[in-house]
Amino acid sequence: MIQIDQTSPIPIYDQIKAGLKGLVTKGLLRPGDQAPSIRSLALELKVNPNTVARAFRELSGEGFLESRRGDGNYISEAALGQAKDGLATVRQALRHALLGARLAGLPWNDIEEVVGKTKEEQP
Amino acid sequence: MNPAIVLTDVRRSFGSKAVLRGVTASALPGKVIGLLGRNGEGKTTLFKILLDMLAADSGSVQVLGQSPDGTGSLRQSVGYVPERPAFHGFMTVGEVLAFRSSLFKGWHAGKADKLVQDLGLDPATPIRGASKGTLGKVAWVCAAAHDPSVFLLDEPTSGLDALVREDVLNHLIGELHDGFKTLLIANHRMEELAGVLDEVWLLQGGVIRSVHPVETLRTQACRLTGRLKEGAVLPAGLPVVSLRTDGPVLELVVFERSLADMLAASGSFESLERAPLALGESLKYLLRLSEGGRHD
Repeated sequence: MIQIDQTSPIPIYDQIKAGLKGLVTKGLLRPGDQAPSIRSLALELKVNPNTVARAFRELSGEGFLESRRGDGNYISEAALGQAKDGLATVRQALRHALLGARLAGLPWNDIEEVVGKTKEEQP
Repeated sequence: MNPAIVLTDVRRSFGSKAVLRGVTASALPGKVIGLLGRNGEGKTTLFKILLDMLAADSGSVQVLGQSPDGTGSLRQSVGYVPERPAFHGFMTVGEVLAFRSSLFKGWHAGKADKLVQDLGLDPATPIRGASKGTLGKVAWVCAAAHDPSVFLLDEPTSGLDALVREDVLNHLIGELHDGFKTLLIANHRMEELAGVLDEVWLLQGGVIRSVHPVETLRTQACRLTGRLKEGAVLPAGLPVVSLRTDGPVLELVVFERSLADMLAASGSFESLERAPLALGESLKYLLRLSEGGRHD
């Protein structure tokens, strides 16, 4: 369903949050849908259920998920807007990274090479 | 919250060889801890002391508030997977489980049956001639069926093929999901467990040399590349691994941001570049740290 990168310096719970938001952005999960259970996601990603629980707790705090009396977590009505807003933040972060790379003297060709390689790994 | 495991200045020698020289550490309930150390550092000795299978020469040990007393009663609340599981060769898998069930007050037949099914075991399989994978799975059922709240896992996946390792990992994740379990795991393939670990204890020279939250390793460990200023030297005894000592360029692995920041601010370097380090690499370099791969 979602993918995480064990070699990335990004905390696993942040990767899980981003992954779930990505599913909503891509339209695979819609407001009103039930989110995967903590157990199934932990088994699928081979991570500690506590880590998934933390991601869910934070997503609930942000209003992205809502829980219905003992019946799991659901994608909230606000989730779609939030995921789209999140995308704007990602775009901005990417722009900052590119500007930083240019400042550090990385030529455009090298940047495109990085983009190409990442695309191959994650089409 | 009282720690589930407390070790205070635990020492143990075999003849003139001091293996544990004052192990002090504690694990909070619910934590998953990786015990990292090279072969012969005493991981198995430590497990056996925690299990009341071997007495410490001195120091104190507590597991769930209980101290080993030589009777082995502490094992009722501990699940143990030994490095090399061994069962009576004349029994079948089902007979081994029936025998074990008589040893544990809290043995849960329903849980044992479910594990047998989930792991794809056949109770009629004879132990003699059984594959390593089968023995490894039986060891898991034996460790988990009495529903212990502390698990001690000594190389629980060694010699198992990729599919069995995945079964075992899934089972472990299920255990973590269903209850408040404390796990201490020694594993030569620690990176395979990276997703479930909360912290890593580095056992070296008979002591727990350092404790590393995995979140810190994941987000902060980095490789520093820099050129020392003319006449500058790196202070001795820093917890870093030197990858390169020839020539003017230094390459160091540091495991915490604060140390990288300190080095950057020290003014000893012409320039210092930082690159993030994958968790698997960090775990490998921690072993180099224990090898004495320090810069002095």
